Amino acid sequence: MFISRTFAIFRKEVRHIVRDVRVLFLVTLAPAFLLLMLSYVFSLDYQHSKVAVLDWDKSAVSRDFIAQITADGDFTLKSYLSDYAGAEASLLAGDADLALIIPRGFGEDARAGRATQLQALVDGMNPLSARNAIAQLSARTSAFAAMRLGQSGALITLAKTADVHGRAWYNPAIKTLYSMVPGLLAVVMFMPAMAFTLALAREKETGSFEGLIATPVRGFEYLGGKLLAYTLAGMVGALVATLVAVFWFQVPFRGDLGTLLAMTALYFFATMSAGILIANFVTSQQTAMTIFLLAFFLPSFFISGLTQPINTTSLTSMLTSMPVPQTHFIAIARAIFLKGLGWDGLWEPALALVVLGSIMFTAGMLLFKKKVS
Amino acid sequence: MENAIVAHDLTKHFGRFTAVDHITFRVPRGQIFGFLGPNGSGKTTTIRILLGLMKPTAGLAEVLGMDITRQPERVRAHLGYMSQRFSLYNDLTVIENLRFFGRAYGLHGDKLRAQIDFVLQMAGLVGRERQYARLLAGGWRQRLALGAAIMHTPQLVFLDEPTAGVDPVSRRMFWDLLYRLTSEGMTIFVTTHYMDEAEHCNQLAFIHNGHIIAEGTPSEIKERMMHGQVLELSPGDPARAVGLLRAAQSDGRLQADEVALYGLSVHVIGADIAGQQATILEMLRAEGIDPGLALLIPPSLEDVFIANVR
Repeated sequence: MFISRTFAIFRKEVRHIVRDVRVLFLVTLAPAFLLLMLSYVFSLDYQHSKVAVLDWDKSAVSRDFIAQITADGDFTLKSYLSDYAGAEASLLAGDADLALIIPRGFGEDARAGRATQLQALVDGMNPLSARNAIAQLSARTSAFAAMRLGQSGALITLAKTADVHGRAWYNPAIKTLYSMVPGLLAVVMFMPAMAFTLALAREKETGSFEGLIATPVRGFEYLGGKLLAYTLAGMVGALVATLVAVFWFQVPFRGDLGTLLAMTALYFFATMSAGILIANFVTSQQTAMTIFLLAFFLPSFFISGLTQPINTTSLTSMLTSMPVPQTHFIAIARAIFLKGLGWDGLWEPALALVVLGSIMFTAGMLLFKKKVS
Repeated sequence: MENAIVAHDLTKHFGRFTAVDHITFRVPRGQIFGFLGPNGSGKTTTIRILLGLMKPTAGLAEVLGMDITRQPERVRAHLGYMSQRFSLYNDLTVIENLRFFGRAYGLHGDKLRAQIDFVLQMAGLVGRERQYARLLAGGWRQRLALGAAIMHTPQLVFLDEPTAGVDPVSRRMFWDLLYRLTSEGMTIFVTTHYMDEAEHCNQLAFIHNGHIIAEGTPSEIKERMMHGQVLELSPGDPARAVGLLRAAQSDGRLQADEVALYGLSVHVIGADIAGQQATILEMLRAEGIDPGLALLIPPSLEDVFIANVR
């Protein structure tokens, strides 16, 4: 009885999802789209800077240097300049984001181990991207000195000071993209749960719920069948978003896909349980969506460790971060992607998701009576 | 157990608003019980209480011999409900809707298939199994909704304004279906504000502002509550005729309880209308309105209802 009624609800929900293009999009493709957009917004070093080069040196070393910095595609060589005026002009016209000036004697000095300096000119209109371009160039310059010339990384300096990141173990290229994309992947996977919450509100809104409550279907059968359907559909969304992370953003995937999907299921359980809780207090889809975005989407960026690490020594920050499912799933997704951790290394955040989900599910169920307003 | 429903002193408050105010009635088994009243009179609230979806503030409701407030789930297995808002799924096909509701009521296997066939036959939906519910015309949708509500062969079924917005032919077909169901022993509790439909019910109760103002068979209600005569006129200009007669009624030239427009005809209701017939016709002619055919007719339920609600 219990199984067959739950299964009846499940089948009906799968049909609703597959037949409503908007819901289908929201659950399967929207996470990947949102991941694409947010990754560009949040990964400031991920940009293709156009470089114009004024090479006074014209040596083998300087040519090798230019080839090196443009090798991986983050810097595109736009043009060779013949004088300073040309550098300024191409920056002003927007043809180049950065003008690199290599002084006479650069190759000789570098090979001899004498300190030498390059100059970078950037367009200050967009300070953030300018600073990032400088930082990237600076990192590459050190790398060039160390790897190609066997010299100290400090040999060649830029005539613009910029912070150079330390060498990070799990993220050798120091790309914030690598830690940002898995984190954002965790954030965008709130969407299936939002679609689930909207579906709960929709049945109240359209009145089909009223036809259902007169049947012997019980609350947990109704919610269970729905939850199962949206979890399954959400898995497709998780898969698509993971593909985008791996193939579009080229984020290394060191862990196991099965583990990631299983963890995603736990995350769905936690977020959808929150949805059940929310659905108890709303009667319209609009309110449901607003609450969901305010409660899940916004906090993701500030308190869940996405943009800055959680301060584990501060009680307040722990109290605000830990009850949020995103906190744990962001940690899980990053660890699976970048460190390749499995269940043994992830049981703590996984348990946190189960506990949070169970608390909210129980509370939601207790409040969710089959009743009409 | 001869009564499917026994309601005693049922009362429901919503804050300071009293939706249902000490109502008492019985619904005999195997009959069509019509629950009539204007919008907002407490019809839907009463149904929700009787389905166990809402607890009454006070009073007792016995449904199929059991206290609905104590054992709602047990009783509900034998109840059907077709809500006022269309409760089918528009993005499911006819057969998918029936399968879903059948399973929701715990049917499966051969029993489920047999019931689906029965409903398709009954509702005349054979050949339309694969059509989406949203594409069905009003009459089909309504019969499908009824079918979905009775898949589990309930003993008692509640229909909340089932024929609202459906064409007359489909309404007629729907009522024929209801007769068939009661002949098989089902009890039907139906709300409507179509008075012609009320005449088809075995038993009626009028609810107004949360009070039951009349109860009985249609003919009992007419006899008991209508102390007057009804004169039907078919004047050339019905709207102006009503205006004139109402003016006469208010300044005492006409002794009548009610002057009402019925489509193109006008009903004048009162204790002694036959005696004033000549006066009435004269009044209209004096204003240049041809009174048309004037007939003393037996009161309809609508006459009774309007005369008593005012």
